[in-house]
Amino acid sequence: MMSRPDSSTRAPDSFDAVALNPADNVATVLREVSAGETLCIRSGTQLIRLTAAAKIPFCHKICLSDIAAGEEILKYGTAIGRAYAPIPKGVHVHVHNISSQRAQQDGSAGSLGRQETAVNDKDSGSQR
Amino acid sequence: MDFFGYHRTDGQVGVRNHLLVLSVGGLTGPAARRIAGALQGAKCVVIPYEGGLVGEDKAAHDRCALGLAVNPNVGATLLLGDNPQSLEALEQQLATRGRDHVALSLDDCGNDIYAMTERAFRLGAALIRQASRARRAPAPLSALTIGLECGRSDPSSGLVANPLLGQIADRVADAGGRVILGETLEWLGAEHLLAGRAATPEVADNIVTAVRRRETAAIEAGVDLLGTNPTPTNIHAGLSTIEEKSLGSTAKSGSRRIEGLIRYGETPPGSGLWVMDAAAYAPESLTGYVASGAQLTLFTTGVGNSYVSLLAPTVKVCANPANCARLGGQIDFDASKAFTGEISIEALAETLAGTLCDIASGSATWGEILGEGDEVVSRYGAAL
Repeated sequence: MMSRPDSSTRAPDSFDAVALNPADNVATVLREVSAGETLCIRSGTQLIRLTAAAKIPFCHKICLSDIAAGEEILKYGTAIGRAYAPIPKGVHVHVHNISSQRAQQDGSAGSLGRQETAVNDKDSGSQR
Repeated sequence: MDFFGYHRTDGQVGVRNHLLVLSVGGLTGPAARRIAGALQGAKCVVIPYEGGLVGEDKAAHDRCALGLAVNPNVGATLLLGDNPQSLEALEQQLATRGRDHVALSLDDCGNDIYAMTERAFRLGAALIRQASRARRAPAPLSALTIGLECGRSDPSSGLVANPLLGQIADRVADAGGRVILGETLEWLGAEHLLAGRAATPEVADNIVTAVRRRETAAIEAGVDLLGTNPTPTNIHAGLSTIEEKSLGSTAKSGSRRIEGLIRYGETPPGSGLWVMDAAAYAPESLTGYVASGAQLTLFTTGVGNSYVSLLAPTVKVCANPANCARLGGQIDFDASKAFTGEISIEALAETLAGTLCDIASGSATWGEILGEGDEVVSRYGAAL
């Protein structure tokens, strides 16, 4: 690990993103991904190829299949929230297009979600 | 796998041998800090509330004061408080268990803080000398109670570091030890999975009810969980909802049956995996584990989190490669090779189990070396 101080450096035969459960419609990218890159994604035990439609910060989620507004987002094979806008395959999935289904006052994302989207567009998002 | 620990008269096994200077109220807090600061190796815990506590606050205060004093990592306790009556119940419990202690109140010292300082200093010194006679001896994994924590998480926590802790949780539970998962709000969205592992339908109900109570409290307070839990730091790192965070967080609990739900700071009544209904914020949460009898806590982080328990060595585990490299001298266990795929989580669990036994046997954690520890008891409502 110490020989690889940059988390974006990965072995060429490894995958770029992982979805632990084959039912998942999002995957976590294991390095920062640029728009237009073709990724190798581990979905359950399968390897699939997908082109990123947007920049995805390190450890953020990429959409694996077109998701309609209102559809559940599945990670670990379990719902982690709902799309509140259509999410095309290959784009960044985060607080700007999904929200929790729990403890909601009105079902919409809070102002913080929108602020974070702006932050994520500017930097790699791996830490602060 | 064995470790070397301090065998206490009440049958528990400590992994440290502290003098605990425990102020059970706020009036003697400054004196407790002064005295502990003057005695090498003493650990000071101040519970700053006492007078006027009612209901769940009173119960949690008393449970935690006792739980911290009888934690097996404590070799001797110097109790400080306002009056002898406030210390009586604790003294009796410690005496019954044969645990070394001395109690001193402001009343005992004529409300003269110079007198209290001098007397407590002498008493504390004698307790340390007595406690230092204890020797470590082999102890089985079944003697351990471990608390499972995550803080300042990122998606690497849920993918790697928390499942890695889950492997340790399974090992300790299988060996006959006790494992505690707290942070109730971080079961939200995963509570059906925890309830599915409950020993009885009643335990399953208790789990779901505990989550619903916190969820209702958030709604009634008008709090948007987005920005509260997940925190702004979690969100920036890539966690989008409480459900996503919870599914990663509960992976710490491994796969074994959940024996029951315990109250904050309550000792699990048997071996195996238990869930504790408690606040998620690390300072309160860790103290709950320690008051419940945990000698060790395992604490994963994604972006970095220096906070540790004062009394129980807290093993910091991180799987984020860049942050492991960046936070040298703070992360006790680098799990990033499981993130990069160079090693399996199962293989890494073997190494972590060894590290855990080393630390239980006396190897220092970075948090201990740096003095990042504290103990904080939860509050529930208003005092009178």
